[in-house]
Amino acid sequence: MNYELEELVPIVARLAEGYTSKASTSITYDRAQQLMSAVLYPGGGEFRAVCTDDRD
Amino acid sequence: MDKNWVDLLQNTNQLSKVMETNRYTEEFGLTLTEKDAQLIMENRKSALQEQRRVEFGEGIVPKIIREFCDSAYIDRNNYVETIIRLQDIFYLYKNEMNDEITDDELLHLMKEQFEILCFGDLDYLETNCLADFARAIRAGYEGYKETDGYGEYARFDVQERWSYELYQEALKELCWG
Repeated sequence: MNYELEELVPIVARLAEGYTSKASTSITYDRAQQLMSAVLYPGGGEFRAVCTDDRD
Repeated sequence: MDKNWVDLLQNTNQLSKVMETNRYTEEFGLTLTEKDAQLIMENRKSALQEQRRVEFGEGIVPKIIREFCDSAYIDRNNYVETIIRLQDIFYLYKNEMNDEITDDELLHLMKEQFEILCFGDLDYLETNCLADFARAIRAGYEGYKETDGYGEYARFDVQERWSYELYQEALKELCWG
């Protein structure tokens, strides 16, 4: 399944909130990249999501 | 890093949240126009880029405003520029403290230092007081967690300061020989 970036960004935002236990409203670029990588599996120029459980 | 998804992550409607702060700041004589709020948001974007941080959700500006609106050193003449500077200092020290400190802890610390040690001097807050505290956190200090950042403002203050008695003595000597 392929996902648009706009669908994945809210997942990253929720992961960021969970990562900081909602105690921070910002994270470093490096951390954000790690979180994005956690839900992405890049290949063939298109993004394929690894995790589907968090989808609404 | 691909800026596109970072922009998406940060592109929440924070302007309205900032304008909403007028409801409780106006009792302190502080209000923001929409132009002021936009200026703060523009500076937010450049500050985040400079500090290589990504912000999500409501953002920190409403919290900064709520924390500092009752400051003795902020009035309507310096309100906007002070909020912008505090925003810059906040992101800088989230990095300098390696994200070990929560938003609330850092804001409480900043407010107390700003009021009690710095007497409203933002340069002193940025270059001295918070720098000393950041060094301590990087060295492993965690005492601020017990108090949510309160009461820690002078913990690592190394500046020699005048006591009230010493000040009175020096003043007498100066004025009356």
